[in-house]
Amino acid sequence: MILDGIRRAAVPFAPAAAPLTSSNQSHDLIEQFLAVLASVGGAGVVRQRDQSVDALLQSFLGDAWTAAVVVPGRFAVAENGAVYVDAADLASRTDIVRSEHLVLRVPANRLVPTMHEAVRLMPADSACGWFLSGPSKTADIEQALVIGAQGARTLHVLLDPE
Amino acid sequence: MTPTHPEAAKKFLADPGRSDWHDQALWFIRAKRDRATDLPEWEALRDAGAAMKAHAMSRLGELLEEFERRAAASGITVHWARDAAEHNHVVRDILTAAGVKRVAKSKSMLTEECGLNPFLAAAGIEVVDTDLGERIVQLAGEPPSHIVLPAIHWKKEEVGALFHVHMGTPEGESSPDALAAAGRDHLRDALLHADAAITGANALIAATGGVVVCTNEGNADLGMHSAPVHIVCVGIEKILASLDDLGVLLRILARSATGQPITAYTTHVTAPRPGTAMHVVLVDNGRTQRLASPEFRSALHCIRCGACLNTCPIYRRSGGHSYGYVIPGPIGAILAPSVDLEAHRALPFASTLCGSCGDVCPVRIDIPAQLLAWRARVPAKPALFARLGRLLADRTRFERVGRWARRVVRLVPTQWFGGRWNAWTRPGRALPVVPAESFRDWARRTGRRK
Amino acid sequence: MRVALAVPCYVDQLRPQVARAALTLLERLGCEVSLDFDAPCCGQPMHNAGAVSDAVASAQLWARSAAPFDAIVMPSGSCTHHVRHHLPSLADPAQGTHAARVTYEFCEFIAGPLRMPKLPGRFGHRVAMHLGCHAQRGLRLGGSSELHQLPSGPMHALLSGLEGLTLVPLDRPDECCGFGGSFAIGEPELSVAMGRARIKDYTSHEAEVLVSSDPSCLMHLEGIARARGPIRPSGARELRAMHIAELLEEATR
Repeated sequence: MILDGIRRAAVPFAPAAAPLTSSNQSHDLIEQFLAVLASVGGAGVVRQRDQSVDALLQSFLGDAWTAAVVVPGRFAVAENGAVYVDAADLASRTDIVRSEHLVLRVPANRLVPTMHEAVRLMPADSACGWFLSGPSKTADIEQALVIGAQGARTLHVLLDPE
Repeated sequence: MTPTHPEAAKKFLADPGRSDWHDQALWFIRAKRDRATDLPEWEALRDAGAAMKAHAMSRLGELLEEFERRAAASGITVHWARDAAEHNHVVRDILTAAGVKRVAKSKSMLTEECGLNPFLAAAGIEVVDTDLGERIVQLAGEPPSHIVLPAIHWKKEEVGALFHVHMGTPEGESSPDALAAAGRDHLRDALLHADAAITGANALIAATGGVVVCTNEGNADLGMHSAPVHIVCVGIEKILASLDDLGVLLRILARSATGQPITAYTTHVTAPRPGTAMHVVLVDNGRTQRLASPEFRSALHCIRCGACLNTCPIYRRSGGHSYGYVIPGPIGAILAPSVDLEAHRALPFASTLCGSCGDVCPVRIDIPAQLLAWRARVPAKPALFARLGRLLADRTRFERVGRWARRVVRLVPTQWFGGRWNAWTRPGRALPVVPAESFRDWARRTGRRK
Repeated sequence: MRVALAVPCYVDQLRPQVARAALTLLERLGCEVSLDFDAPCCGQPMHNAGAVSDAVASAQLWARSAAPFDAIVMPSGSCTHHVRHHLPSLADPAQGTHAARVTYEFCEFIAGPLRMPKLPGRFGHRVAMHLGCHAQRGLRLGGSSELHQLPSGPMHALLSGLEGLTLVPLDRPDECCGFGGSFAIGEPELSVAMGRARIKDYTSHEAEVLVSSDPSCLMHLEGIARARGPIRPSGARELRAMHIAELLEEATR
């Protein structure tokens, strides 16, 4: 049995890593988040109270805006442009991959510096969740970056006011 | 007969244009890794990565059981497979019980290791590899040559020709955008309508009973969230204790693999969709044996980022297929000998011990030390080194033999040393100019020593 | 301080000029150097090929020979690395530990115990620096690109301190040259391909001189350069391969 083999291996105990705290020096997490998101092929904007979501979608996607899937995110991570989405907030788990145009809405005051903080915000007992960073992509053909592999071709993030 | 590594490398290098192109492609990825990991806390992250893996291995049994308990409580069926054969049988049995004819598979080196695809094909189950690079090598009927970039050795014109045959793209089409678009359409059908999805796992989290899958394409998600059956095939060493450990992993993995801060999709799933089935197959296949070896145990810490492949001048200039093992490169060269020492005896020597791999490894596996340790298990040319060992420990004989050898080399015409038998000169390297006098001779002649 | 020069086996037989230059320079810097260090070989060739037990006799002799000295200077990064990392376990523990403690790579010795990180001298040439992997990642005698470090360390400092010397920038400052001991013979095509790539890096940046702290890297790279012939289109003289001891000796005459 596998567990017997493991016991026989008698590996000496090694203590867990001391938890790392973020050394992210960025003063403005929103600015960092938006810059990194842009660098990975996504785009984001801080929505002003008087801006309608529909109007913003139209400005991003033109006529294609009606095909966009808009999905709520729980929080966002500045260091890598990722948004955490939980399946509990979705009608279907495929919502995050089936559309060519994905739009994520996150409260602007729910930004964390790095993954160290992010994992602690993942909901306990989540059945399924994702960190989504930019649109789907591949570089499998001669390292040439192609945006829009199996998932979304475009990914926009709206940072919503409180 | 599988060619040895030196034979395969020679063949790869016989096309210098191509081998330079391959080298440049991999170096480009190494350079991206350098930029992405240029963080003030990078070395601290490597320390944390090393510690979390050592910790997990030291509690492996306990963590796997914790994972199983939580996963089972959430509706995941957990299976244990001692070896590749058992893994393949378990997967096939799940599929046949569910009446599955067509599987959408996203990248899993573990399934390559176990030879799952041909096994399922023999059982009448079609497997479509949905990672674009994996699909390229699948259509071409060859194994992947890199653990992250399976088709890195394919030029775009060659992909174009392959897709023309298999996907009907226009003859001569070689633009990556057009080919990737054709690939997307070709794979979408398989992904949306497969009877089952098989994925690997980048990590298992004991504290949540969760499976973590990272991709850039989104193919794993499209498959696993559409199919009624999802099977995760994973090596037992992929387990991590906590979400804190996952945080570290997600900061070091993509940066080391492709130079990205994180992959486009990172999925953490702990329960199947209502009305569907999810299975996790935990595979040993030699891992507990490795665990039992203090010298080689840390090879289990590998997070399969591929950074060691990208930095290794030997890998870059000989290609993944030259290693003769499912996992190539420096990490492959220390894993393969524990699987079959005799078959892979050349691999620890397919290295100059330059140390670059150890320096890029995000979890600080001391690959060079393990390469050296494997060499001690399969020494090259034992008779030669026994003689050399005696000669070099005897100063008088050493000087006498040295003097004689130098005299011979200086007297004999240089062409005599240029034959095919001379591995020093054969590929284009002149013999050193041999001096008339050794340093010791000079020192004695000038009175500097007795 | 009793200082000895330990001449690696292949330097003694194949490239004695490196040891002569090292001796000349050290004496020029006011260091009294003994040539009584007797052991031919530290055991590295056997050890690195996996023939550990065959390395023991050489290692033991080497460690015994080291006993009377306070410092041993080796003009070879790879040999120094082997002594420092492996002699304590290959030889008698006490002697091996002493040997490991007192053995220095050539530049390390000048910058460290001799306290001369820079030397006054002139070398008006374009120079490509190849530290060598054992000196670099083994002994950490220079910054490594993998660790996001710029070229640095005793050899880099000594070169930078010479008047007229231009250290040429390289595409890959610390890529392995491909010698690798038994690798040079066991994987000859790879070995030469890797060396050719380094030569191309040097010549594409118009280096006139290649300098290394490791004579084995030098023999390998020089052999490849010579087999190629003059590299520059003008047919100008081929790359000159020098050990750091030879370069510093010439620069400080």
